[in-house]
Amino acid sequence: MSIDTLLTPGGSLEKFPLEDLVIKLKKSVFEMGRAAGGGYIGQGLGSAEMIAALFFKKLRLDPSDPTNPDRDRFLLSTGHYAISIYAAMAELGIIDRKLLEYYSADGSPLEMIGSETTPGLEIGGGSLGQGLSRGIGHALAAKLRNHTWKTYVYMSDGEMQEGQVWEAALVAAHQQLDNLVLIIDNNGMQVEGRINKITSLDPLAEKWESFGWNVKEIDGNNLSEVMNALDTIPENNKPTIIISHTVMGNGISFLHDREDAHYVKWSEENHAKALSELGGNNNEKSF
Amino acid sequence: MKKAFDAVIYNGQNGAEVKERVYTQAIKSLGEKYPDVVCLTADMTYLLEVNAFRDRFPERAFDLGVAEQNMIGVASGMAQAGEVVFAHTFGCFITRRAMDQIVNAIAYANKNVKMIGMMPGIASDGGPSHMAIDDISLMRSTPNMTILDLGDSTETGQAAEVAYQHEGPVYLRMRRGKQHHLFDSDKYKLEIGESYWIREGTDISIVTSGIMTSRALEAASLLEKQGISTNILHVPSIKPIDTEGILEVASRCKALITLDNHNVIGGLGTAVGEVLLENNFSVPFYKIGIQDKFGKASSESYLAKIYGLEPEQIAQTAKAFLDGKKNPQESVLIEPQLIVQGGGWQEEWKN
Repeated sequence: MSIDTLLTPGGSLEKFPLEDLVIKLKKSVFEMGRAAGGGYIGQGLGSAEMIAALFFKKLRLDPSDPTNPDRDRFLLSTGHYAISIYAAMAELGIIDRKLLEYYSADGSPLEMIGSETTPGLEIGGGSLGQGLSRGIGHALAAKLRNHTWKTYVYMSDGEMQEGQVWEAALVAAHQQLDNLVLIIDNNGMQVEGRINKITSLDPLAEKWESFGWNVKEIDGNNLSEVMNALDTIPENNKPTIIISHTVMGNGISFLHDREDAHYVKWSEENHAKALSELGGNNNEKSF
Repeated sequence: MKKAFDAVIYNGQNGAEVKERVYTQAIKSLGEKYPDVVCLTADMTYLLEVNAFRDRFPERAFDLGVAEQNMIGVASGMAQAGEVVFAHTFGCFITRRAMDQIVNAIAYANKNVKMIGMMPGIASDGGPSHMAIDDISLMRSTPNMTILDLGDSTETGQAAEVAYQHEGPVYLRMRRGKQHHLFDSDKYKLEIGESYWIREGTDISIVTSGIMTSRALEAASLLEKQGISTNILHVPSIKPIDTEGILEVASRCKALITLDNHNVIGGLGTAVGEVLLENNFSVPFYKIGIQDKFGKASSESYLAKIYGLEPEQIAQTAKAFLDGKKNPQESVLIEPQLIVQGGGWQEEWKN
């Protein structure tokens, strides 16, 4: 099958409860890991609730017209999390589900680190710390032209070690960008291990508050907290940050909160074990 | 130019011997020898082969987090305070990400900082964000900078000492993990400003550096079967560059070809072209390399194919150029029609 065929948009958002969609999303993450022999599976698990809430419930997004000019902008600053976005896009029918089998394969449009050459991704996020600046660009343009769409930037916590993030933090507040939402996947990990052992970000909420942002702190693996946070973005001339505390590899015993799981190999044995621990409706195959 | 025929232990056939994580031991040994060596990393220590140094000298190893520009500034400060600083990350991040900091805090300030950029060009499978295809260009146009593009395990094993002995900024461009073993370490001595004549022929001269040299040896072996004999000049020292060595091999061929694991704009080929022009030396000249385009997150062999850098493609291109074809590399590119399973980062990823 040619790549072009697989990229044809189609399908529709299935009307499942969000809890079930989270499970489906995680299963797709596993399938991608299985196809590639490895991947950013821990990140995919930790971010599943937030990505599901955004893509299946919150973002203004027409799956049959994913580049519609009125769509909310979702900017993935940490391209490593693309595995979750691919899963969501497959669920929505923005990409063909079969394409997931080519996650990170040679020449595949689903690159291991997301890039804007992949349909559905707004920006490339391989070089860390740049997404918030690009999000400010979108938010400023929206204000300039009175567009009603919002800009959501998704970033990891380790990424905040890049200085550019803090340059952007200053500018977003100064420009009063209340159409901009920054979501931090705060799993406490970076490549080398725990962030607090390398370059601590604490106290994180206080930092962003002092920079002039609305700050929300939630359990990012709790769906009701995630939905509540996304439903209550203040419109008070300030940008909003959601510090979403998550667990890398959430819920899967051999990945849960492991320091050495930035990138994991994925064997058939891992795959089977992970599926058995996932819960939810396992009878339905992802693809 | 040094004649180094007897130092070459790979004949270009059946794959070169491979050595693993050579830099790991080299930088640790350097630390044992010289107490003023310090190592900086940006969130990757094991992956950049600095783990043995860190374990042996934890007080002289600093993981500064995902913050390359800051790391370069810190390196400058430590060097000014008298340390000899080895700063490590991927080649793309340590050069273009921190370019202004390099220019001001390292190069203009002329600090004794050695920047180690790993995963050059097609040796990176993380996509354009992770591929250094412009680092040579950036570092060449930076005054006071010395550039070594390392081609095998022997060079990598010697490079840290060579960089240490050179007072001032050095950029070491090297592969991590598995490296080809091309040169006999007893007979080969890496030197700044030197080039190495490693194969003698009369038809084509190939000027190469870094991981392309292994491919050049293989291409030459293929060309030989077609009755085409090849000179190879290995040029690890891209800046300063050995003008006399380049002119010497240029005078011993019908056509001169350069190999770049880099954009053909601004890489070794550009440097060699400048040497020829500035010395008023006329020879049919062609640059094989990445023809000014971005890649994808894919394996080295896949990237080599789409860029035309596999040994077979290099040999075909060289022959086509010798036969007088225009843009000979274009005809050997393999369009990415098929997805090959099993690409991506297969190397074990652990701390």
